[in-house]
Amino acid sequence: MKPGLGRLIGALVSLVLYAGQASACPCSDDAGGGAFITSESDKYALVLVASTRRALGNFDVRGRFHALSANESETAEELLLRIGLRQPTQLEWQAELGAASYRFHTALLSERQTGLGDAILRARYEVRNEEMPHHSVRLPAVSVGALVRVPLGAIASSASSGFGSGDAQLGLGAWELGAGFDVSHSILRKVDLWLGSELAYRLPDDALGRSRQLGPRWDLAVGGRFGLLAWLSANLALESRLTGDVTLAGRKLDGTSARLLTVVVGAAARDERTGFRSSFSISLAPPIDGLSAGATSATALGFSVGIVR
Amino acid sequence: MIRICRAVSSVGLFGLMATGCSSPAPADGSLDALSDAGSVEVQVQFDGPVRRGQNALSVRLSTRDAAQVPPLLAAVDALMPAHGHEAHAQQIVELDDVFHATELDLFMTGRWQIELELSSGEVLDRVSFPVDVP
Repeated sequence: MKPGLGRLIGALVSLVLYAGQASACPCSDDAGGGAFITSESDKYALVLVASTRRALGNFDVRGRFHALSANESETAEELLLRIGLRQPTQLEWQAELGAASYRFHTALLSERQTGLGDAILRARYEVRNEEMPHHSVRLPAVSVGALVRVPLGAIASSASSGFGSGDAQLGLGAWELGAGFDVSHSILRKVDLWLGSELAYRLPDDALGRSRQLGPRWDLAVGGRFGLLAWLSANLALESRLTGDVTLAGRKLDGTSARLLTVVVGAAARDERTGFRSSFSISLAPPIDGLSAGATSATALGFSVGIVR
Repeated sequence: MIRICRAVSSVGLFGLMATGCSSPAPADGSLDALSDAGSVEVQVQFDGPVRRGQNALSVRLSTRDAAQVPPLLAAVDALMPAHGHEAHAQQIVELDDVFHATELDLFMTGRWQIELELSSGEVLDRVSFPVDVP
């Protein structure tokens, strides 16, 4: 068997193995720690991400976790399309748009919403590449980025209440402007460590029928990529998200900020000859008192396929 | 973790970080305050501890000017502004100068903003306060 064919089969096996689980955490609201979806030698990339998310419970404002009871549930499935374009070589333009189905169920309430998520436009610029191993002092690779979230999501045009408690698969209902950076460094031949951070400002909106301004968002993520085979790698990341208090009708509401800590593990397969990419991830916001506050603990499975040229 | 958050926020690098780690004031569901217009004294007490699910509350309204007729309690709404969740008391009855609002379904853990709509003829006034749902 040709080596390239083996890699392609491996990538397809990876796809088949995890397709049944649907997939991942990369929902419309993910940010920071994000990565280029193309390399310098690529021109463009198309990636389709499917994810499913199930809430376990919620953290109150003091960080105490309260599990959902047997007659409560909150689930969402999302399909997300990401497009990346390299022009010029060090700059990647990214656009993503998703659609989601969200279900919320309690003893007295049951609702289901399906619709588009927000559109997110990003630009990522590679400031510097990491030096080659023969250099005595190897500085890490650095990239910076900016994003604009365009509130196309169902929440932006919906008068109904309720659009999700955790991530924003159906949109934030607000424009968001953000900037961030990523630093990565190879510590061993097959291990890359990275750190990413992103700060975002949410513009005032009227998604609730009156003036509202969501608090700013700060994402911080650290992770590692471990090369298992030439075409297969494993990933581990720790992500933290902080959002500030909400201002409603000109009044800042104490206790509406949120803090969420999420652990993500996954694997990615690629075939350089065909440009095929596939990955899966499992994420969990651990339901442990004190780790998060004012946020939803959820588990998510994600699966993606893509093509890079 | 809380200790770490406080340590980081004390550095003052990010006001946002401080926001995320701060401990908000308790919100147990009782209120003794003036309405937004400043003309109505509002006393609110939840009937029992606030809980996830159905809640009831009692509201007493009085005017600062004894010559004025106290307003009516027109609506009791609840909102989670970050999540976009809303709830409304399904029934409001007045008994012995106290309004009893019932069937207010606070269906999710977290901080809700309770808003009382007060009506004096065509004049509307409001008062709002937070409650923590466990």
